[in-house]
Amino acid sequence: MASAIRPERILKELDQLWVSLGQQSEGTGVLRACALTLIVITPDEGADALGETLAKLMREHPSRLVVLRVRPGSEASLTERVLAQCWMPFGSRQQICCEQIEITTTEAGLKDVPAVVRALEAPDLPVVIWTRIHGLLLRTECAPLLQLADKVIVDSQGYPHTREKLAAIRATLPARLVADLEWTRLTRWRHMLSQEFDNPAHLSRLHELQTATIGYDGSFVPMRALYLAGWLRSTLPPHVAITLERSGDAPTPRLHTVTLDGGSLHFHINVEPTRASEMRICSQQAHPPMPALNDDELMREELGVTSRDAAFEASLAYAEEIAA
Amino acid sequence: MGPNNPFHDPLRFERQVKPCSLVIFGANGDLTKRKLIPALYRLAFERRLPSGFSIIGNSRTEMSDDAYREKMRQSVIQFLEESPFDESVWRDFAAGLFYISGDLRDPNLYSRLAAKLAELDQTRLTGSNALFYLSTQPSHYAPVIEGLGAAGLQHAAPTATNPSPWRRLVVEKPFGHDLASSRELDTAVHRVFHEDAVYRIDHYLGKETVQNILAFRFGNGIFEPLWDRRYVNHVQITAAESIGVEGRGGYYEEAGALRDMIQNHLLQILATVAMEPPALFEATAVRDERAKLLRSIRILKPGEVPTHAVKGQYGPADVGGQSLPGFRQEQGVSPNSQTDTYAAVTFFIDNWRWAGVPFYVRSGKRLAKRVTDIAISFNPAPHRVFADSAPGAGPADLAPNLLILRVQPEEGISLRFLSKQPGSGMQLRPVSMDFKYGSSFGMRSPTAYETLLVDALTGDATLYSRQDMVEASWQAVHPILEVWNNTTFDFPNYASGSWGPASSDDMLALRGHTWRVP
Repeated sequence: MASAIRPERILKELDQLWVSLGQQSEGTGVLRACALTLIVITPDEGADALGETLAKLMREHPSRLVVLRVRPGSEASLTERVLAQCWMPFGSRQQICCEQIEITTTEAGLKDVPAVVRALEAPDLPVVIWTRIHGLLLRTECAPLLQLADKVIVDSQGYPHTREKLAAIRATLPARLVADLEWTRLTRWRHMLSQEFDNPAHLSRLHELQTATIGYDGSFVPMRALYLAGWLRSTLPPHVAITLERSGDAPTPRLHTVTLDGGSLHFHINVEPTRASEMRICSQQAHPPMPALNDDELMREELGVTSRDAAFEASLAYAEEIAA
Repeated sequence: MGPNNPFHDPLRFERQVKPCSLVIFGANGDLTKRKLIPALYRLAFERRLPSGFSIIGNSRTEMSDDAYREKMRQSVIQFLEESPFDESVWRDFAAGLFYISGDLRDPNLYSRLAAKLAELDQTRLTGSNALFYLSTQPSHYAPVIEGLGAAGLQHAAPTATNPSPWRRLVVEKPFGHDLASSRELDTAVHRVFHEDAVYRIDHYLGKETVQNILAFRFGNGIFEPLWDRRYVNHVQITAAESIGVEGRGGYYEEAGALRDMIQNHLLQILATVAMEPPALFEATAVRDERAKLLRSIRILKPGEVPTHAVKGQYGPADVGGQSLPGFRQEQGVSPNSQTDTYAAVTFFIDNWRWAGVPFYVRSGKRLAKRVTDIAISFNPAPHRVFADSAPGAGPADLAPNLLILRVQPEEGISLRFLSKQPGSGMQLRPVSMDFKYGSSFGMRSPTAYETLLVDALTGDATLYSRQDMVEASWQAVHPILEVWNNTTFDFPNYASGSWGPASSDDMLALRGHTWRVP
């Protein structure tokens, strides 16, 4: 029941929290920073481990943070607590703090959440929802919650694509910004490719390309590979044949290579499970760093994107076609 | 124009450097080791440099490519700021690092350089693009430029894949030691390079917070209407260092605070604070406005110098239990030195926006602490409604609004305003609203050299000085230098660890102002 928690009480608790932080600061004061409302929807199990990720994220994107912990259950129930994420920048005597509201709900209670969260949004600032629960976009009871957001961020890693899922992401696009961290994980790959074609010697031979091959391991095509295929389809000349090639098994499906070939042009990136990498273009070779990115690094990038991502939208459209 | 790269994604990829070579003259010097190579490595770490990017270092010392690479590796490890050192990134970066020894006055050096650039075009596909960086002593600038010109290196022939290769020149400050020598240097530069290809670096302009002044002023609508003589009472610009000359006594003896800081860095900051809004954030538009502002600075008459400029030199002192030498006791400094380790100037800007508003600018060594900031002091409220309700309230209690733009060390913006003190009476007290640029957002800011190197490599001169700006700055300080050169000062006149000579306070007192303590 939504009546189990009252937004006014939470806001009052927040006020008291700031007063108490100020009193503890011994005269140096506390700097309150807020650039957006970030609503994180996460399974209750394992949510504690999210603390460090959120703390790192707050330093770059200070927010009013609403963490919605969802546990299984058919009986609607909501509980809440407020806390602060604080840090002392190096060389500073002043703490910087962001406020955090934690709401725990059962799946059945999700329908009661939007009314509470709506009252908790930081006024006049954008609202971003990061859902760590797979398939949330497809659940009708969550629609009012998603309606609150200016941007919705999902993560398809580890799940097979379905046309329904892609369609759900696409359906959300006209109204708000949508992002998938599987797309964000491609930034380094795409950047490397783009950088090599900044060289006029390579760019002038782009028309020679005939094939683009994307290699992956695993029992299903990872979304990342599908997005990469969609992106290449939207950027390469139409005559280039794009294929997805499975080369082996892996407990978690992963993208490992992309190869562009044709005429005198050969471009290849390979990333090993150890993250060792090799990039070759024609006769040149390099070993660019390709570290696995943490959630906070991916989210930092996504929260920095505040306008429509035309490249993602085009890739998504083609990915849907390819998936069909 | 060639075809566009279809893979570009400006929403997520930062501005990219196209394939090119960078030639550093003075490759074994302090600036190269401490700033340039660490900044370039960091750009490589962030994948801002193309894979064939090549650096050719030059100095007189004989050295192999490998020895130079090892030397630079040590420098990067030592001087890299807020950044990890990654061996695999270094390996790829070092593969593009080359070294050519040679005397800067030897024409053969430039022939070998031309051959090396041609070789790199073939092996590393640098597209015949090259940036020449003068990181040598200023006395070598003219011979290097002449050598480049004699070898025809200021131009590159178009190739099949690159129809418009570029050649650019970066000149480090000082741009001359006075107006006449800056013009001489300019003549030498223009004999070889077109102005569009010349990048005069003032690293203060590359600082994130100096750029943020432009964002603050011209990205917001609420500040600019207050940004003129009707609301601003005066402006104070401070660049204080707590350290002394630290082994650079010989250099500093020739330079002094007015030349070393005010003529270039602080006048550029002043111009950024006071310039008119440009129509576009684009090199010509921004630099035109800066230049116009610098040309509007009132040129002092010799008789005005004593009341508008203060020269100081630090003496010995015990600070925190440590005995610190005076400037005249520093290595390489004459015991009778007349060099200014402190300079403060009252500037006026003769235009409609700023007529009558004093801009106080000061810079010094061995001051109380290291800080660079700009304080804009607004006029007090026209009528003091609350004066009677705060018995005993002095001028400090009714402190005017103050906007502080901090450049270093804690970059940010603070606004001081009056607020009612809690309680039943109507007592006012100043409170500060702070925005801390780096720490609030926790992001690593690029160093000034990272920013400026990318700008030069991508052909963006917005944050670089132009010769008319350099000349206008020299003109603004020229009368002061003239008077100071013909006056003997009773030095030292301030103690290390203080905020400068008493005469500096007197200069502000003439207009009823006091230096704030930053």
